[in-house]
Amino acid sequence: MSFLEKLAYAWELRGLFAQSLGISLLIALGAVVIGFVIGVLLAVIRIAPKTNPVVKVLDGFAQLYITIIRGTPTMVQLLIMYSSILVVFKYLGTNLLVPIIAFGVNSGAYMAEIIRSGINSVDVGQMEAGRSVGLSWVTTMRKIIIPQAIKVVIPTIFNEIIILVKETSVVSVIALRAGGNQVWDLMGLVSKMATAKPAVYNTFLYIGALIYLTVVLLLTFLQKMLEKRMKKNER
Amino acid sequence: MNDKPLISIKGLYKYFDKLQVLKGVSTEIKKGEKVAIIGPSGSGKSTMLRCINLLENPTYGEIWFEGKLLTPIDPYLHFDVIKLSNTYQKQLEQYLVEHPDADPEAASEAVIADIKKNDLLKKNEGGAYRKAIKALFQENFQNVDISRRDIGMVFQHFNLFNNLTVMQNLTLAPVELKLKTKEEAEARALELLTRIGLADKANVYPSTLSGGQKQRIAIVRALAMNPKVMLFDEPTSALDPEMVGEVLDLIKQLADTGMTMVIVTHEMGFAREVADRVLFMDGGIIAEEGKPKELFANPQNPRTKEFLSKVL
Repeated sequence: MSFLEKLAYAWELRGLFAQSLGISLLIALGAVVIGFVIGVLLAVIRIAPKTNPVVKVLDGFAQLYITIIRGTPTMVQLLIMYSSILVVFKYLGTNLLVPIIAFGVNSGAYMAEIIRSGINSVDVGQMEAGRSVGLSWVTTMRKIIIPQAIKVVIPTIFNEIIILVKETSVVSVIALRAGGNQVWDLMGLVSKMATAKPAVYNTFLYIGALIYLTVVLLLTFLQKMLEKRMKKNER
Repeated sequence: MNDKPLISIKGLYKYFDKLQVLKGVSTEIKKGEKVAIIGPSGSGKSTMLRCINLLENPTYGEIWFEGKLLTPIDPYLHFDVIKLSNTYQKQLEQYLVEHPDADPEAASEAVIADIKKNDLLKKNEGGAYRKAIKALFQENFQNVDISRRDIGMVFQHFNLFNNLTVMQNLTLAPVELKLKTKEEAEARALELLTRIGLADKANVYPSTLSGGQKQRIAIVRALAMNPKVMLFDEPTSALDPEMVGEVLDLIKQLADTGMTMVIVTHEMGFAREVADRVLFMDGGIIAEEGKPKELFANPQNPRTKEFLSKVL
């Protein structure tokens, strides 16, 4: 099989490639949203003054969560979700929520630390000013501190998103279903095709790599646009 | 003038770990009064000011605002509450037996210190005492967030909200706290900005402003809440010299409207001109206080003399 023939074969499968790219992006997008929400919540809990016993308990939980998630491999977390915690999805026609939740929960721990560092970088005077006009701690966080913190951590958040997009390739260790049919993420598709036709393995790997690279370049572009817009907001 | 104090500070102590910044400050501020606090750096004047709206939590002592207690109902914070307890009575009797010729004030202080140190209230006191505390709590306590609406604060470093426009800086709190509708708040903000000649800056972000402009906007941000008192924490210390005047002028205008003000400042001329009363703080206590003319012209305390000779 010549190189051109391999490319032609890949082109024949473009529908499948597109679908599997869609699956990968869907998982990544869902995970980013969940991760971001968890991250903000955990960061705020970690940063909250420990005067209230409820906050203390929540903070203990947040620390435990971050320790466990950062201390275990993503693939292990995914398999645990798949085979025990979210085992109910085994009986459903669509189980894409399993990797979305698994990667979201994973990313939440990292996002929490990123956002926490962002909150810490905001001048304490901002919180004092908010409190001095009678706003509560939570309102000041929401309206003043977190918007400023997010701006600071956009590059680091995008770094995490990029890692997450690539990390979703781990999902090929579990069997994905959508509407009762088996589906594959991008790397899952490459492996499957390679098993069916070993001769195309290397070519398909390169194609997979190129697709990921393109996605990451698009994300980088998006990051730059966002940073530019936020800077403009200050002038 | 109303004689009931707007703000009462009673037996205020503040420790930062082992460092004692305030060592028993008590004073009252009446409605309409302008009080300037002067003193060397590290004397505790900013800390005292920040204790008034609980940006610093006092280690001991009480802050009262309009007859409401802002400091938490921790029995150890309240001398009056400690004195209500049986433990206090017993310990005092015992103390007076041991020290028959002790001064009553000193005896009381020593007993209270002992009770605090050994956490005797928790060990000895029962339900009746707890009820007394609860009564005090219900009657007088007020969450400081409520009082802060009436206590405007101006910071050394302005602390304008960097992520909001000037207009949003002024309207955020009144709207968020549902004191005004957005339209009302914006109308009021524009009126205030016009008063300080910065109406054209309504839609810019703070980073584009000069220090003097920032501080004047910080002042009207506090005024947008229609406060009953304004606290100024060294409002001109972070400004370039040519911008000090515009900020002091605005504070002076505000003083002329009858606003109650507490100002921590290094501007002695300004303090002399604007204040009704000057507090000289040194080493965590109010070392001397008086009318500005008397205190500046004829200081009684040697430390006041020394300080004034350096700065005047």
